[in-house]
Amino acid sequence: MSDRELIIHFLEKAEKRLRSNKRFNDIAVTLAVALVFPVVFKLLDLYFLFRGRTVVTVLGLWATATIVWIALKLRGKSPLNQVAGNIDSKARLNDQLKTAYWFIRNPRESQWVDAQIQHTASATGKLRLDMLFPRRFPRASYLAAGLLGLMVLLNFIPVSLNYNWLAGHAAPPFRLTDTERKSLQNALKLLEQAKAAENAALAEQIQNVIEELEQGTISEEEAIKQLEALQQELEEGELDAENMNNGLAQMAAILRQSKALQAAAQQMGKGALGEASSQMQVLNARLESVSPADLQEMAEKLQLASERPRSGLQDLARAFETTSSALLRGDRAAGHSGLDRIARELQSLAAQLADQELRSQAGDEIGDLVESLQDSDAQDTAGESGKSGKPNNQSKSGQPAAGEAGETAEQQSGEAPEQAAEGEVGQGGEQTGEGGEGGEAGQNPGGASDEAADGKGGNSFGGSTKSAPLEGDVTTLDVVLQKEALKIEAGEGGQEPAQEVEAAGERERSKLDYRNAPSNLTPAQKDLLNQDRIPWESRQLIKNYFQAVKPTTTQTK
Amino acid sequence: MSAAIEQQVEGFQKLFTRVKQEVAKVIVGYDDIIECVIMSLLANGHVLLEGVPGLGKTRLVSTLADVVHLKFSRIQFTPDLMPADITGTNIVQENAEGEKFLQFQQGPIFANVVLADEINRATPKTQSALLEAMEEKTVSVGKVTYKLDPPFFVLATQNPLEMEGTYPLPEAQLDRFFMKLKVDYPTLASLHTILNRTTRAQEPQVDRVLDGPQILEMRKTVKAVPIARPVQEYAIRIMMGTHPNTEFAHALTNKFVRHGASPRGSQAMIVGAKIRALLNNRVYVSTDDIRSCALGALRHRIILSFEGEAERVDPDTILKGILESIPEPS
Repeated sequence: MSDRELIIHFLEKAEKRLRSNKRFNDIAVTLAVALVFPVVFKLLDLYFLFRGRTVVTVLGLWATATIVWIALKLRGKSPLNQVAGNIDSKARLNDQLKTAYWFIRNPRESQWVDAQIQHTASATGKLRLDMLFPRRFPRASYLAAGLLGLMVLLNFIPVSLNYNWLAGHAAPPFRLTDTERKSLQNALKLLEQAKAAENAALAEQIQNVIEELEQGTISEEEAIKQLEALQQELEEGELDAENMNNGLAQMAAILRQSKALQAAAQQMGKGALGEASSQMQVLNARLESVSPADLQEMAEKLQLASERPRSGLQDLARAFETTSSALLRGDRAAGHSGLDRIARELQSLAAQLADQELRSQAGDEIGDLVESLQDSDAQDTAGESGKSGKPNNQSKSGQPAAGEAGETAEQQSGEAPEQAAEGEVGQGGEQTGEGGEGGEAGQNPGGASDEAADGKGGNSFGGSTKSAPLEGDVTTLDVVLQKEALKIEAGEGGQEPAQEVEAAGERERSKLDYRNAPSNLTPAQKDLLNQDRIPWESRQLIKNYFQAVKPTTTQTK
Repeated sequence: MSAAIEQQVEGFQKLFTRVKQEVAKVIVGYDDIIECVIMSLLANGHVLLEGVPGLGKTRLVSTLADVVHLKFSRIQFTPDLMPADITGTNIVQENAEGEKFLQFQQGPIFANVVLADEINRATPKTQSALLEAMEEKTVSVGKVTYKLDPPFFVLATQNPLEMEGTYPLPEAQLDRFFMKLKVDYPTLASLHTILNRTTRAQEPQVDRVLDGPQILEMRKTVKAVPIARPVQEYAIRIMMGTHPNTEFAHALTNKFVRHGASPRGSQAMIVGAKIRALLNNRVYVSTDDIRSCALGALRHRIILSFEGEAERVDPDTILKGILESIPEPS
């Protein structure tokens, strides 16, 4: 190899080394600078929760830009004269290599030039590239590694709002708040406790809706609709609990008049159907010891209680009737059997109502969730369109909503026998005994309006009214309820007037469930009445109507 | 390196070092100045030494003349000195037959080493008498041109312009000097040596180590040293950096320079750089060599503008700025 070739070969080797070092350095520097972006982005994600699509898009663009930049930086080779100059400065060769390379590229006939090239060739033989340009980790690579580590660390910070991008996780399009999630979990827990097969299906549906919402498959509005439907399904259920409770209270009020049935009736009136069942069993056990008069009285009251049973209480009423007949016939065995059947029916009703209660509570939780979603939706809408969305009036928890509904019912429907009250279950029953104060004292346990009684309002356990007014304040009417004097007729057999009054009062009660009463309304009118909300445009009209029909002071006098 | 080249370089270095050592026997503390003066001699250039009186400028030149074994003459420039006092003149002579004729009487310029002492004390007209001799190495008197014997080497000294009775040298003459060297006061240690040597009974004696033919041979060696295009371009860029309002002009150049260096400046830089390369045992010129010669070769070639004169800008400051700003070509 000639001196010239030696020099060129050395320069080419040096160029490769320089290029690889430069590439490594460029990559490290680029990464050190570029990695700042995802780290900052990840830090921002801890506060602003970027959606998966956003994260993928931004990081994709970032990665593309970084790769393009690196590719651009890595392009091309350094010219050998530059390499020669670089080596000259590194090895302090005083431009020896640069000059020699220039003379090689621009040859001339000169001993001096040959001597210079020869001298340079021997000098390059002594140079060691590893000494001149050692392979080292650039400082920037440590910074890049640090940033990479930080990025990994940030992804694994155990914070509830931190999503691990490295595991392919990112904030969902929608995320429930802690309160909303708690409501959801409570609802699911309650449904699990209820243990009915359909409850499991409902729970699954609710979970599906939430999952779809979080994944962005459905809109928030759609989710609210679906959850509302599920809530309605939960609260309504198979049973008309409200109606049943009212019916049970009425039955209890009647049965309490029998000395033998008093204990069981008292428990029924309190809503403790399990206890009532036990009392029935106790009575069954000591049936032999009951006097004939008491048996007679018991039979009559059972007969009376069995008349016109409310929806869901038909079986119990039939059991009453069978038992009553047996007792009236003096068939003790059938009486035992009847009482046993009554006890079983009560037990069964207790289980059904408990299940319904759990469903109702789950419905309340879903109601809270829906309300919260509606609030956030309204805020979003207000923020977007500048409109001031008025948050709905739906109660957060069941209790206040029931109270509101009760108040409304109290003010609006004074004449109704099932007056709203804030009492607990059983209070109504107790108060029923006071008869004539029906207008003031709620006989309807749990307190609910007509709306509630319709299955759309507050339930007997103080549950929320899902159809509570969504717009504006509750309309109130200044209706003054008037006490009605009842005619007292002397009954046969010298019954005491007080009992007559009471009996008369009881008899005046409708024995027919209003739902079952024939109606002259057209289906369209019924639909209108069954609507959940009073349309805005109709509210004033309805209000005016009620104010117009409001009894004046002179009239009431 | 081939043996012949190696011998040439080695011989050059030896002779140079010998001359320097001999001069240094008398002149103390001015190694750089001595080196530059010898370089100028070998580069076929002339030197302008500037410094206050009493620093040994004249002594340096006379010592060098002694060492190089050349014909030496000294011209003391005074305000009444006439050009003919330098070049010589035709005088009327009478032969044996009584016929009168004009005969040229050579002036002090007809020597190998000419010391133009305190050159800026003479009028510009007289100073200009040196122009032809310095560049063409000839002297024209009347219609006759006389050739000067090589090597011809002018060493001029001048006092700083601020001093009484001085005339600035014309730009054309300044440009003919290969280098302008500034002679500063010697250091404390150097002064001790000077006093020790000059206050004793026996003053140091110098040997003649170099003659004319050797000088001419050394000049050939210098010219043979190759220079690569990038290094040459570097010298050109530096020279062009002294030109105001050009591509390579420095900010200071644009502000304070009226006229930049002529191509003689880059010639001086390159030849000086070649000598430095040889002295450093190299057979090529590096950018370091160019840089080391830049100040001496260019400082007297920069003509300051009114602003530069008014602000008493040192050309060295401008040149240092240029050297810092001009990148080394790859």
